[in-house]
Amino acid sequence: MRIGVKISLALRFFKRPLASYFLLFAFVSTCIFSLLLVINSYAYQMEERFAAKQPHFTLVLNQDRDTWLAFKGSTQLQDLKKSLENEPNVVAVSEFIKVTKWLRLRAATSQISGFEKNEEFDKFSTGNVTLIGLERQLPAVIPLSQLNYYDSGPYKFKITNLEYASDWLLNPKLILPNAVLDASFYAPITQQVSVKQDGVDYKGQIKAFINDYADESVLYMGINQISHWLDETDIQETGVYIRIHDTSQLMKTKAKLQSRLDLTSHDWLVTSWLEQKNKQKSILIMTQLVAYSLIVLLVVLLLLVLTLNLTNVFIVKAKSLEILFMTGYLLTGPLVFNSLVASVMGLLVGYLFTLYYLESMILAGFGILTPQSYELAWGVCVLTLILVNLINLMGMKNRLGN
Amino acid sequence: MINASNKPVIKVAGLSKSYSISGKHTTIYQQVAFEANAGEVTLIMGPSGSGKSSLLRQIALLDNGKEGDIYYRNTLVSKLNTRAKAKVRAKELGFIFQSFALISEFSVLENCALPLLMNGYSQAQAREKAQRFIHKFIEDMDMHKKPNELSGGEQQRVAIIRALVHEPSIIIADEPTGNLDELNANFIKTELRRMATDLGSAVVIVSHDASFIKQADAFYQLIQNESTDSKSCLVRCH
Repeated sequence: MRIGVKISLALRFFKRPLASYFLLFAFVSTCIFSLLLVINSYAYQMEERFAAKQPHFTLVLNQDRDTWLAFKGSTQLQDLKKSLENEPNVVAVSEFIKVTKWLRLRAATSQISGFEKNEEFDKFSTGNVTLIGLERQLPAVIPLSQLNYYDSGPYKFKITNLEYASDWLLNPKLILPNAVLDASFYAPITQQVSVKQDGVDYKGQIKAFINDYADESVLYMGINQISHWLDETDIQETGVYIRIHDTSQLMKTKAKLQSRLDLTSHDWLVTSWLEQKNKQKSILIMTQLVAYSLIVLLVVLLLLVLTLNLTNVFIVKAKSLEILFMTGYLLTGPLVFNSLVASVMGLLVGYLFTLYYLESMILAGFGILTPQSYELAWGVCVLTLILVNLINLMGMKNRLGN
Repeated sequence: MINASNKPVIKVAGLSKSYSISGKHTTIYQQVAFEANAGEVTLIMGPSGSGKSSLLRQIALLDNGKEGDIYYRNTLVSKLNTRAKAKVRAKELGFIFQSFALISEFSVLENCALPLLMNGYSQAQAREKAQRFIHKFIEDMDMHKKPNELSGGEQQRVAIIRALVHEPSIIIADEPTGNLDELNANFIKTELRRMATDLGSAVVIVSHDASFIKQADAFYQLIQNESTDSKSCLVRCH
């Protein structure tokens, strides 16, 4: 019997089961491709946005505070900073102090709407604020009364007390230039600050950048300024901050930094910005886990449905299958070939549908423009395809005996 | 008319069939031996449960038996692998069953063309030859009808066309008149006789219908032997 005839006969005989096989595979592969695209886009968005925050890496001595003080007191810290600054991907290096304090920050902005209605409101959180001291000197802050309006569509915001931190913007070798740009709304502003400590309130003016993240308010200050009004006992963490050029290879850079620091006699802990943001990271991991679980569930369901479908086909077509076997037509080969073709076609349709129709929607949903890799999705789909066709082959061999 | 050579097309020796259920071993028949010659009608009769259909399936290479040999034109076929057996079935055998055994998904034409496709014909050649055969047997048949749109007699005629369209050397018929009225049954009997005479095929019929005895060149009976724990054995009656 000619191979073409064998295949076309199997196609003719199993037209409907093969069509449902194709549709099912197209649906499942679309789900796998789009789900993994969603999770990749989410991870990309998380990493891209958080990676853009400075500092990219925090280097902390994983030893007691005396070791750090000894390290700082010797020339080792300066040597380390110099050697890190010589790294091609490193832009800036600064030692830092990190403290969490209860603060009340006040800085009012007023909004002028189309109805010329002025309204003042408080922009900043009150409560525990993370204070980070970095760079030796607070850069000069100068008033810039001409730029005290911020346009946003039909609204015009007047930002009171706006000052222009010229050094922060113009000196590219500082650790936090993006904080100035990111925080265009909030900072640099002269703010009123209250520090509640041992029943004695400190009230005064500070000059700092404030990033009011969803989960945490961070106040960046010069390291000397922060030392003026904090005790040594307040300081929870000290070490070195690093800002890098290329943020797309964070983990690679981290591994490089870690291996370099492993050569020193101290135990250094290198963490990226995202790693310090446990909440965001755990949400990312949870979302990934949910997506992977969904994919596993989908694949298991697909296998179940296809197995049931196959069983049903064998029950419904038992008589015809027997006749074909009797007349010398061995179905397994052609049928497995047709199933393979149907599943490959379903997979391709799923991929093309995701690529040309869903991808733009998903990327727009996450506000990213960079196309995401489909490597993992292809891996999962091809593995599913092999698994399904293997089960199919075994089922047919078992049932048809040839 | 093809000259019947009286040479055995099928030769069966020492054939046995048994099965086990829950460890209990049951033998249906044992030491069956018979021959079916080209151009002759061979009839096998026997009571229900004696194993007639099982014997026919085994002779047609549809079931495997552990004991005994089956020869088609002096070639041992019972020891072949599944693929080789399928090839032998496609080339050498034509089947006619009580239940007509037509593929419900295929049209009359496709059902009749199937054995030709199995034997290497192209789609066009197979359809053309099948059409000729259909016109020869049933003049006003709509070849594009599905089997379930046909009467029982029409279905059995289609089954006969399918059985002989590739001119097989063996035709196996299992209760071929079982579901038919007298008129259609007589037509089938005549056609089976003609297949043997005109095509020179060895026609093996399993039936309850005693009227086949008159047509048969060789007549065997599967009888249950009391001395061997009710196991059936095949006895030639004429």
